[in-house]
Order: sequence, then C-alpha cells, then structure tokens
Amino acid sequence: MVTACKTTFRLQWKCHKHQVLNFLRNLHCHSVEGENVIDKAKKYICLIERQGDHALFIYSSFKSPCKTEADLFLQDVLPIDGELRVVTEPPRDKAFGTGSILLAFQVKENKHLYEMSESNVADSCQKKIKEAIDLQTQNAGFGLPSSFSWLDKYRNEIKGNIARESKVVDNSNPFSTDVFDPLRYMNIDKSVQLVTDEVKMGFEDDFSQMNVQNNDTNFQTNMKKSSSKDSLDFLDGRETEFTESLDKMAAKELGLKPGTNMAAGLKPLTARETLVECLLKKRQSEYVNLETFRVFVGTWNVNGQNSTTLEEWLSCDKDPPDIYAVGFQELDTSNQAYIFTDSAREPEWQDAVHKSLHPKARYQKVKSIRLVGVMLLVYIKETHVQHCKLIDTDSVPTGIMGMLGNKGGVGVRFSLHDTTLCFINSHLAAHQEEFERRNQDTQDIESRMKFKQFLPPLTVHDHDLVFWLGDLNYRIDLDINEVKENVLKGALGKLLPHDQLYRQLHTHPVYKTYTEGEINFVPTYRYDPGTDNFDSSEKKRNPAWCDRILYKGVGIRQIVYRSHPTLRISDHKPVSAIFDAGIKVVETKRYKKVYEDIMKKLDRLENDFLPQVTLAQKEFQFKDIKFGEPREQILAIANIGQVPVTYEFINKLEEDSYCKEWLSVEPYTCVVFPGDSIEISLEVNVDKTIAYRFNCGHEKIEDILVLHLQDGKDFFISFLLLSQERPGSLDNVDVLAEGVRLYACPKELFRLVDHIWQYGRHQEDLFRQPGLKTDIHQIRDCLDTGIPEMLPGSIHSVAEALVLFLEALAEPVVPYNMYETCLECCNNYFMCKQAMSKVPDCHRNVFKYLCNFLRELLGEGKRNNLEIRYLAQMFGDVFLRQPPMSRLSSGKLGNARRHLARSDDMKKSAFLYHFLAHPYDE
Amino acid sequence: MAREYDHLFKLLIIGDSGVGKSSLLLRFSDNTFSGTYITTIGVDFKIRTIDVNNEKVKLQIWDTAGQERFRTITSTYYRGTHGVVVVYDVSSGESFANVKRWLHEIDTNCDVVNRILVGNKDDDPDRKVVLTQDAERFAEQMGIQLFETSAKENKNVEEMFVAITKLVLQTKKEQQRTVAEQPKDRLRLDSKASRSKKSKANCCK
Repeated sequence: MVTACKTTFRLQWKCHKHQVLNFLRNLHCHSVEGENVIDKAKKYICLIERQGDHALFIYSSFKSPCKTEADLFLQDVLPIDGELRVVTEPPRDKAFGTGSILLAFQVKENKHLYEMSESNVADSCQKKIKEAIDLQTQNAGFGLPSSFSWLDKYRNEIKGNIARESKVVDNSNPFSTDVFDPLRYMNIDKSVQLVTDEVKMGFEDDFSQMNVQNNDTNFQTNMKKSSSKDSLDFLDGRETEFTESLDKMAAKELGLKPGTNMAAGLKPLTARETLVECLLKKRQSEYVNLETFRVFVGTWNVNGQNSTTLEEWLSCDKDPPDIYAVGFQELDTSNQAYIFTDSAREPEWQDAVHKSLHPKARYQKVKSIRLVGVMLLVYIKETHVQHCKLIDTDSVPTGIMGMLGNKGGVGVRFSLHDTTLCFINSHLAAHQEEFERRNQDTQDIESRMKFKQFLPPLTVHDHDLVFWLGDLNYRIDLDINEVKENVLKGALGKLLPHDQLYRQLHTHPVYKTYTEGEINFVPTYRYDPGTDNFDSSEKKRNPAWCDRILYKGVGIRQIVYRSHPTLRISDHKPVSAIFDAGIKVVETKRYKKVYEDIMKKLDRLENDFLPQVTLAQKEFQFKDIKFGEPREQILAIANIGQVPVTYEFINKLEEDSYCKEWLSVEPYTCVVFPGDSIEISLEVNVDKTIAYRFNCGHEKIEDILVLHLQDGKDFFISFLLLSQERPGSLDNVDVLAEGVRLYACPKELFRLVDHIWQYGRHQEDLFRQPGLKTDIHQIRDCLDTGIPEMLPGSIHSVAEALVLFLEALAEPVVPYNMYETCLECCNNYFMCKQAMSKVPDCHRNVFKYLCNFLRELLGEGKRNNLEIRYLAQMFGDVFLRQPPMSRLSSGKLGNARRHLARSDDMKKSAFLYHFLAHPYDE
Repeated sequence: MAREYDHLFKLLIIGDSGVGKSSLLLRFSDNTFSGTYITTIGVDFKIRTIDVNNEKVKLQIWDTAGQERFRTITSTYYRGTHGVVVVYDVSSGESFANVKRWLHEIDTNCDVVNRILVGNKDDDPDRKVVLTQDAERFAEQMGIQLFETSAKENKNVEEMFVAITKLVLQTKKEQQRTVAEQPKDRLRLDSKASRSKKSKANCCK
C-alpha cells in the first residue's frame, strides 16, 4: 500500500497535465508470454485521462519497493481505443502462485500479459478499463475522433528507457538486480560488456545461439578474406577445409567473437585471465612433456623455372618428417609477377611440393604465403593437425624503396601443442659487396614482420622456435679461382671463414641469436642450369653459399644440412636441413590439475579480498529500559580484511527503514580501512510511541538489524529490550485492571490527579507549559516506589507526567476496540454515552474520574486560564488512541493519511467535549 | 582462454543451525576445515570457479544463518538463486526431519531453482542416526539427488557442488533452448523482456 500511495503522487507529478483517473494497482505483475515469465520487474499500471481520451501507462520498477522516482520507468503506453481488448485469464502455470490471475491487454496481434496477485483487483482493473473503452466507443459513436498524439511524448520516453535499460544490464552481472551485489568490485570484465553491446538480445553470459548462427556465415567470409593471401590454395578441397577449420579453431582459441574481423576484433584478456595465463606458463614444466618432432626445412632459388619433381630434395630420407617448411625464391621472374598477385607458377610449384612429400606419411598444408617470387609452404603430418593452432602469416617486402616485393621475406607461424614455431623465408639483396644491405634486409624483415591476428601482434622474437631459410645471398670474399680450387679440393673449411654470413653469425646484432649447422656441401650458387658446373658465363660469378638455413630456440638439434646437386634446372642448388625439435606437449591430466590449482588459488585470493570484519558483539540487550531515558551501547567493527570496507545498515524485506524508530544508529554507514576499527553508537529511546507495547503485555521488544558490508557479507545484529519489572511502573501490564480493583482507579493516577488538584488547580497555563525531564524521571521513580511521599517537581512536570502516564497505558482510557465506535458517534452526546456504557467498568471509572477532574479544573478557569476546547482536544487525543494496526498507524505520511488523521483528531476532541461540557451521568 | 567465466551462478546453502553449512562452503572454497563451531549470524559468500564440461562456471555460494530466529530475514537471500543446497546432519534426526521445512522454504521463495540434498558429517558411523537408505527414499520421493558428505574428511564435497552446478547449467541450457524456440515477434517489448529474463527467471521476489 505504501508504494501504491507514493506512486500515485509520482504519477500525478509526471502527468500533471492529464488527469490521473485511476491508479489501478501496483501489480506484482510480470510480463508473461506463453508459458514463460518474461519480465519479473514489478509493474504499475495507471489509467490516464486527457480530454476524454484514456490511455494505460505501464511503469516498471527495478527496485522493490520502489522508493524514488528514478526507480520507475515508463515501459509502455497503450491508448485505449477500439483496438484494445482486456481480458482476465486464470494462470496457466501453478508457479505463478495461487490466487493470482493473468490480465491480458491485446492490441491487434500484440498481447501483453500481466500477472496480478489478487484476482479481485484484476477484476476491478478490467472493469475500469472496460468503462474507459465503452466511453471511447461512445465518443466515437458521437463522431468525436480520438487523437492520441499526446502520447507520442511518452512513447519517446519509452524508447529512451529501453536504451537506458540495456545499459543498466550491461554491467553483466546476473545478480545485478540484487539488493546485495557483492560482485561489483570483483572487476568483472568489461569485455563482457563488449559482447552484450552487440548481442543486445542475448543473456548476459550467453553466447546467444541465434546470433552466433547468423554471424557464422559472416565469419566464414571474413576468414576467406583473411586467407586470400594463399588464394591459389586449391590442391584439394580438403586442404582448404582444413585451413579454414584451423582458423576457426584459432578464432575460438583467441576468444574471438564470431563475425568479427580477426585483426580488429581481438578481445583483450581480463586481468584474471592474464594472470591465469602467466601462472600457467610459469608452471609449464609441471604439465608438459618434451616430445621430439622432426622438421624438414628446405630452400631453393628456382630462377623462374617451371616445376619439376622434387622427391630427391623433399623425400630422400628414410623417415618422414613431422613438419615440412619449403621455401622458394625467384618462383616467378616474369614482369607480371610484380603486377598481378596471382602467378601461374604458384599452384604449379605447390603441386610439385605436395606430390613430392614423403610417401610414408600423409600431410596437410598448414599455410602457404607468397610475395612475388618468395614463397613459403608449411605442411604438417595429418596426425598432428588437431594440435596445430593459431596459424598466421605475414610478408615484408624489402626490394626497391623497401617496398617492392622482388626481395623480401614471408613468414608462417603456428602453435604446435604448447610450442610456438615461426618459419621465415627470405630473399635478400644480391651482389658480392652488398652484405650490409643484406643485413639490413634481415633486420627489416625481422622487425616489420607482424602476425596481426594477435593483440598485440606477435613478432618473430615471440616464438619458441624460429627457422630462417632462404636465398640470403651472402658471398665468399675470396678470389674466384681460390674458391673454385678449394671447392675442388674439398677444403670447405678454408672457405668458410671468408663467408660473409659465417663471419657475422654470433657477432652481428641481427644474427647474434641464430645458429647454423656445419656446412659440408659445396656452394649452391652459381651453376650453369642443367649441369653441376659453376657459372661459366661472362659474368663469372664467384661461387657462394647463398642458400642457407638458420635456426634459433631451445631444444633444436640439427640432424643434417645438405644441398641437392641432382636438381639442376636452376642456377641454384636446393638446400635442406633436418632438425629434431623439442615440442612441448601438454599432458591433459596434469595440465588440468595445474589449471585447477591455479583457479583455486585465484579464487582463494579473490575470497581473501572480500571484505572481512569482526564485530565485538552481535547481540545487544537493553535491560531495565526506562520510559524516556535514552540508553546507548557501542558496536565495534574491526576491519580484519585486506580491503577497505563500507558497511551500512540495510532494510529488511518489506521494511521501510533499517531499524525501528526507537533505535538510532550513528553512523549508519561508514568506510573502515584495513586494520582500523570504528564504533557505532546504538541508542535506544523508549518514548510514548512504543511504551504501550511494553504495556500491552510484551515483556520484551526484539529487532534484528542487517549490517551489510558492501560487496560482501551481511551480519544480523539482534536487539532485545527488556522492561523493568518493579510493580506499579509505567509498563506494568495490568496497571489499570489492578488499580481499579484496589482503588477504583490506579493509585498512580490518583496520586497525580490529587497532586494537581491540591497544588496546581490555580496554576496559570496548566497543561500548557512543558515539564522538566529530570522532574519527570523523579516523579516516575516516586510513583514506582512511593518515596518521597509527596510528588517532587513543578506542577507542570506533574501535569506532563499525568499525560505521559495516560499515553503509555497498555490499553488507552477508552479501549482500542471502542475507538472507531466512539469516533463515529462523536456528534451525538447521547450516542457517546451509549458507547461509553459498553466500556469495561475499570476503564469507564477512570474515564469518569478524569472527566470530573477536568471539569473541576475548568471551574477554576478564571485562574488557570484553561478552556474547554483546549482540554477536549488535548485529552481527546490521550483518551482515544488509534489501535496499533489501524489504517493510520502504518505507512508514511501521505496526503490521504494526513487528512484522515486530521479528521480523526477533530472527532476525538468532539467526543470528549460532550463529557467536559456536561456532567457525566449514566 | 576466452573470458573469465562462461556462466555465473548463485548457489545458496540452507539447513538447520549447526549441520555444517559453513564448513561445507569453507571446504569447497578454501579446502580448509576448522573443528571449532562458530555460528553464522548473517549471510556470507565465497566464490569458486570450476570447469564443467569445459565451460568455466563461476559460483557465488551463499552461506546462511540456520537459526530459526533469522528465518524470515534469510528468505530475502533466496532471490536470484540458481541452486539451493539443503543440508542436514546425519547424526541429527531432527535436522533431517526439518529438511521438509527447508524444502518448503525454497518453494515459497524461489521459482525455478535446482535443489540438492546433503547429509553432512558422514564421518562417524557410530553417531550416524539418519540411515542412508531412509534419506535416499526421502530424496527420491522429493525428486532430489542425495549426497552424503563430510566437510571434515573432505568426502564428497567437491562432487556435491559439481553435481548441483551441473543441474543448474542443464536448467539454464534448457531455458535457453525454450527461449530460442519461441517466436520472437509476439510481444512488443521482447528485446527488453528476453534480456531481463536471465536475471529474473530464477527468482520470484
């Protein structure tokens, strides 16, 4: 009811221009669709009238009870026109609770269902709306057209609200509607917001099946685009499929949202994930086994020739390797190759490679990439495909102006199990004296090569194992004849020190980290094509080891390093190397254990960072509560946790305030820093508003406060108020009944009245001046104990004590059950007397006694200035108290209540007036 | 590693005072056990992230005061709960007898919620008074899965929490399926409504 009143006001405020005809009800109603409860927010339905037209305004509230205007959102506006139908239906699901009913508004094909907890309310709603509809039809019948353009303003508001709401929910916490929201501080990732932003209709932590499917196609096209680098990758259908599914896997692995561009859509990891990843890496040794994989690396400058069979190069070994990385240079030396991205040579050579792979194993292509004449193909054994993930490529041209692709490098990277591999194929600048240029090219390739699928993009350095192959073009700085001589003699050891690359390996910054196997083969450049003879042309090029394979990384063992002189179509001989590489293979079982362990530790950390406090006391007893005497106890809160704690006392369910009115808590909210403590003052003050409860036979009053730590736990603090038990005290249960039995009226009453009569009947301003608190306490004690014999304090204090005494009686002078009757007949003295005759003897006696006393005082009116209206009003309020559970006693001040209270006060005063004006005879 | 978690669920532990609710939670969240009995006066929660079928599920587990005098206040905390763990003490017939009341409490305060029955302190056969078969019969009657646990000896605790999590997950997936199958064009405020469903579907307060 409270919310109802308040809402009415709000609606009046909001719609001040239109008349709020009827506030229908705060329905505890939800939108219902089919069998499913769709929206459980509390709804408020309001019938609004403007210039003869009606509309239903549906507000929803995310807080219950809603307290401020901000809690209400206009959710829908339904014009009441010929199209609106209203029906009530029984609930279809018993989960809605008994006694509830569905109220349906139907506008054309849209049906809005609302559940209402009380069927009679729903009925009256329906009736009211029907009346409005009838009126509308009637108006229409008279040719009065309805225009609902005044609703447009509100419809716009709705749009705004919905937009706002989607933001509200974006805090991505399923508990966000909770009063207690402990997860707020936990840094629940912002990234989820990103997701929900796009997936507007999804659940907060849901991948929104529908949308995913829609986006999937999108995703695939994107993927195709991104793999357009190897656009001629159609050796067989399966291969393409494989690459794509790999990419999909990669996307999943990377946490890519389907439908996002891979480069742009990468989701940054949350703090916790980064931590998990970091910890996992740290403990890698606990869950990985180093397994040896055989890697074949080959490089050949084919000098623009047509393809040939390559078995002699690629499958000349007994055992099939696990990985093939095959690099070509000068694949296509035609001018078109610079202009068009497609080259007929590419599929031709790819096909040749594919066919020449080791026959003892089946391979699938991981990826291929070509930059003009530089092409790199990576294959992997079919059995390892599922462990090969996060594949990416990049190319870096270093040709003319550092832009053109006649020289440059291409790279393929991927993860195999838990090891990252990177293969670079490069064709560096030519000519004997250009070795500085070549160094520069290598450096450029290394620094400009970026695998952009990752955020931040990965560089060559970010890999566990790197293989660098290609026509590096380094020469031997010796006279041509000397070189040829030594080659013939087989004294390669004498040539090596003069090799430009050999000299720079381990010394030059670019090559510092790279290793090369021992060269036991004769220089691979430059031959007369079709022969094994060194260049016999006019140019007379110096033989050189142009074609090289370098590597870096832990756990690589080179098995062979060789050239393949039998392949003669080019002026270069192909080179190959075989490595045994240690690949970190995760043992799922151990990994899981480590992972779980890490999760547990992080969870524990998270738990440790929840607010922690100790309370010195959780139960408070206030004994010997005395009327009007405030009492204080201290609640000490110590922060023993690691984070600052904000505590606050929160309302219990369906209560308006966090504590009862007799208790005050100071401060009710505060921040306590770790290691600090704070004292909360709890003050109990029994005043007349609750004293009657003691007198009603309650020996104790209890309450429980909820002390809430923000983002943390709640404590329940119990309060117990115990009354004094000495006889005759104000809170003595039977004071009236007992008293009457012994003295015809309670002895306390007698003493107070007698005292006033004796010493104060001539007192000016009697009952108009306040007494002293200290006096009143003494008077109370005197009444309780009978000592001293004469009541202490001023006459005004005694007068006030009398009033307080009467106010604190368990049952007022006119008993509660007669309250309404007395008010009803207040205009008629005869009926008032009749009402009084129904009052129990002891009460009537007291009433009579007091009325006589007041009449006598009025007789002295010349001196004490008392007048009948004043006394009637003052004691009317004392004699007639509204029953505790009556319509006025609960709830906040509202206009309606205030109005009622005022009229009640007048009635009380009128009632007593009769008895003060006339001698009361039965 | 896609995101911090795939699902976030709120679980609630209820049952008579002293049956070991806090101990169960402490065992599950911190893997610790303390023999000294401290009454929970209020509500507390801990978090724990577990993997269920390769999905990361973050659990926020609320431990409530079991004392009768707090019953009305604790009922507030049922809102938004996905799963409820009802605990009794196998060495206390009374606590087992009260299970019915606790189940009733769930019915009045929750809408769609998964439940699980737990007989804790199952570590001393001499003191066990609630026989497994009796408990099982009862559980079957009520349509709940029963677990006999010991927070002290770390028996079945993990399993129990995983079981309730699986139930909750299953319910969520079923709900999603029904929502997905529903025609979307019937209610005007659909986008808003279906969005808010998740957070509200499991509570009724």
